[in-house]
Amino acid sequence: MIGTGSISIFLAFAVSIYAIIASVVGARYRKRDLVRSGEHGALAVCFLLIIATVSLLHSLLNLDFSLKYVAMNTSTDLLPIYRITSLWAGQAGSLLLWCLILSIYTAVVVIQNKGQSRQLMPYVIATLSAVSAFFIFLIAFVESPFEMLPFVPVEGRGLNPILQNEYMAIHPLTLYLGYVGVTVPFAFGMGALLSGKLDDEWIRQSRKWALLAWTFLSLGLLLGARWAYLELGWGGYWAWDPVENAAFMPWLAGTAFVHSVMIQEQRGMLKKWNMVLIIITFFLAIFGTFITRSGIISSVHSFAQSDIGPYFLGFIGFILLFSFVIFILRLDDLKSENKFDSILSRESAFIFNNLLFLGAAFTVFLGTIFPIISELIKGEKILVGPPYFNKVNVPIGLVLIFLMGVGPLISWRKASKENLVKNFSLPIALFVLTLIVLVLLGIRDLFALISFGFCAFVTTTVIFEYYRGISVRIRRGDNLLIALFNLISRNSRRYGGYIVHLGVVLIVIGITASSVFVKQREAVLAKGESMSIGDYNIRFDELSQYTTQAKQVTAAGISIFKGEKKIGSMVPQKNIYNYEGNREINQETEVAILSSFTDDLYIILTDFEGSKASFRVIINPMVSWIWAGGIVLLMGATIIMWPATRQKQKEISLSYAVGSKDQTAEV
Amino acid sequence: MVLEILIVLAIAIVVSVFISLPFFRKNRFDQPYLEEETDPIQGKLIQRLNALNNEKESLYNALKDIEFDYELGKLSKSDFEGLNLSYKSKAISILKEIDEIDNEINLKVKEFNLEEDNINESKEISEEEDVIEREILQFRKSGNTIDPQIECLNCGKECNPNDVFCSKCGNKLSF
Repeated sequence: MIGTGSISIFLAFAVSIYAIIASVVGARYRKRDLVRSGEHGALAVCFLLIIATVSLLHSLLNLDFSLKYVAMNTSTDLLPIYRITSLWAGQAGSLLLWCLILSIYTAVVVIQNKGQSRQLMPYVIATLSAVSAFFIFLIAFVESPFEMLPFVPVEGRGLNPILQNEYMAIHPLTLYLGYVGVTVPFAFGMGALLSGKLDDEWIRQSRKWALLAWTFLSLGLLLGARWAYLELGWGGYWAWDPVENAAFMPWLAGTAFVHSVMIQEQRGMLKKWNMVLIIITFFLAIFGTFITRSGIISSVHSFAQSDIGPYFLGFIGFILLFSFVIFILRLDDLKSENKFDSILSRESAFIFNNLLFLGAAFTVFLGTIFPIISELIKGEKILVGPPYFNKVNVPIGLVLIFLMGVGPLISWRKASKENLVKNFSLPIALFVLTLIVLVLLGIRDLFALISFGFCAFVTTTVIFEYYRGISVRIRRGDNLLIALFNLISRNSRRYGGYIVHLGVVLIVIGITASSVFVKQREAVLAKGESMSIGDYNIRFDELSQYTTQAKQVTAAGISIFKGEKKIGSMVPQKNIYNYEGNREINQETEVAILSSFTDDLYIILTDFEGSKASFRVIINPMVSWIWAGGIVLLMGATIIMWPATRQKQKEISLSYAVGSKDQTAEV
Repeated sequence: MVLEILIVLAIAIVVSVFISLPFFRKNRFDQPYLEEETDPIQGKLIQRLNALNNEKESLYNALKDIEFDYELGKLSKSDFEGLNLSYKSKAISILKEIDEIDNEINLKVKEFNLEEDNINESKEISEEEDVIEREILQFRKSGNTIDPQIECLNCGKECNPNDVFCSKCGNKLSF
């Protein structure tokens, strides 16, 4: 199947080039058969890449070590599930996955828009095919997953132990679904600019796809954080690692975009801004991929590095130049239909939101590329760490939380004093009350106080919105449950959005508590000895060592007490794998975690000698709120994206000749 | 090895055929590129109509939103009335324009249908005339002359039109 897979990739490259040419020429010379042939080409690329992926999966599952990729990423002791996930463990395989996902998205776009939007769609398909062609070029000519070895090794190198985890089974997949998904709204933007069809159609299509991509990026980021928390063994979940930043930057720009499109839809404003924003979001997604893959900046994530950096740089340069040139050429056609009426309005809140998100994305971008700049100027790589990122992004984050509460309550166009007093009194009151209660509880950290206060502010606005919405529906005759159901189903974008905000609030509470109130202690314990941290007493019971097929395990048995009562047992481990995997290090730390609603007890076995063992014990308050918040965020996003039932549009029977020539006065 | 070559060939053929399919279905793609290009004037009307319908939908949604916001107490009465008036007057002018365009299109369709009927009718007539003409031409080419005869109703003998009685059975000939 290796030959089939390899040739399928070459065919896919040729067909994707054809799809670009057929779509553009067909649209330019108004040839429907040519445009349709281009669409068929896009579908054929998907078919070919499925064949290539199945071929590679077949080789991975059957441990065909004649293939370099299989030999480098698997071993005979690897569980079948991890043989499948090794598809995205290395450079070539993960690039193939990227191509596959993009081709599936392209096929969906073709099928959904069959026979529609003939002005717009050919250029959308051409853009998607162009991006596809670039990535297929990489796997066809630069980093092939079907590269053969001159000999067949008896055993493979094995999969990196830290990738042998259930979260790694889905984290890259969700992240890719997000990264790649950003290509689609970008393609609609390019389609609009190239075709000149700059009405609302491109923004409507872009919004749906941007939301889908944003959801997957959010999920991918949270799963990555969870994986880092469980596997990397340093007690945290986010380290502003370059590869973490690579996914975070398009997420920031994408969040700005899904908000600012609402202004274009509602008020016909920010047309130029939205176009620039989607170009920037796509650029950041490709740039993020470049950072992850090129090895230009060292990272704990740098699993897959090779020589593809220059190709990415060239592609990024081309995208930016091409996009902004056609944007400038179409500037006159992107005029706003309305103007800002007041700084106290929902439009202003959304603009501030956008500026802050982009500001955050820019600071993260700067911090991430700083090592490259310092190397160019000073000849040495100076890494920028968490202190810089936290110092800049924490204040921005706090203001964004505040705006999350302001946005839903403030009116479009112009908020009156009456509106401000009526809608903001209760949330502000609860903000102040929360601060007082926290101060009385002994909390003095300013950032923590503001963060929790704003979270209370936002939670109040969400509850308030739901309460008012349900009351209106009850007044219209619904009972409570029906009112809630109808409220959400008939205004899914609004009320689904509130649930997403609630999810973000939970995540922020978890991040604030676990950052500000974390406790840590290190100790060397002999068998039977105890240490205490916070409310916990930890007793080291025994050290055991055993060997499995894949690894040599050293496990420390620990009993956990609160006061005199035993509440559980934990077993942190240190493992040495038989095969070195893709990294020099073959050791792996399995942390032990006891999670609860209030905190996580996190124990790391750092070293052992004889009957003594060294431990690092961390209490991470409210970390589980982060994962819970992620689930709530996902629920909210699902509600927003759920297909709406056909609602009867409110037909306003307007008689424009109701006895008066001046129809506005009449109405 | 041979099997794999055959599989690859099969894939290549399937893909090539699939991509070329639209070129073999030319009759489906003979219409103008955009529906609105069927008639340049009508095409512009349809384009405008589509744009107006999209605007109308946005306005209906905006009206729905502000009504809901007013019920929620987020909009003051004066703000609601102001926005309501503004959106509704825009909606009125859009509906008016939609009606006008609809009427114009209906008129054009009626004219087009009438023309089509006339064309079809004259097409039918001209087709019959073509058949007759061809038959006459064929007859002339064959060198035949037209010789008018009267058939006897009694025995069927072809008689001279100037005869009064049949020369075979003596029956009186009728005209």
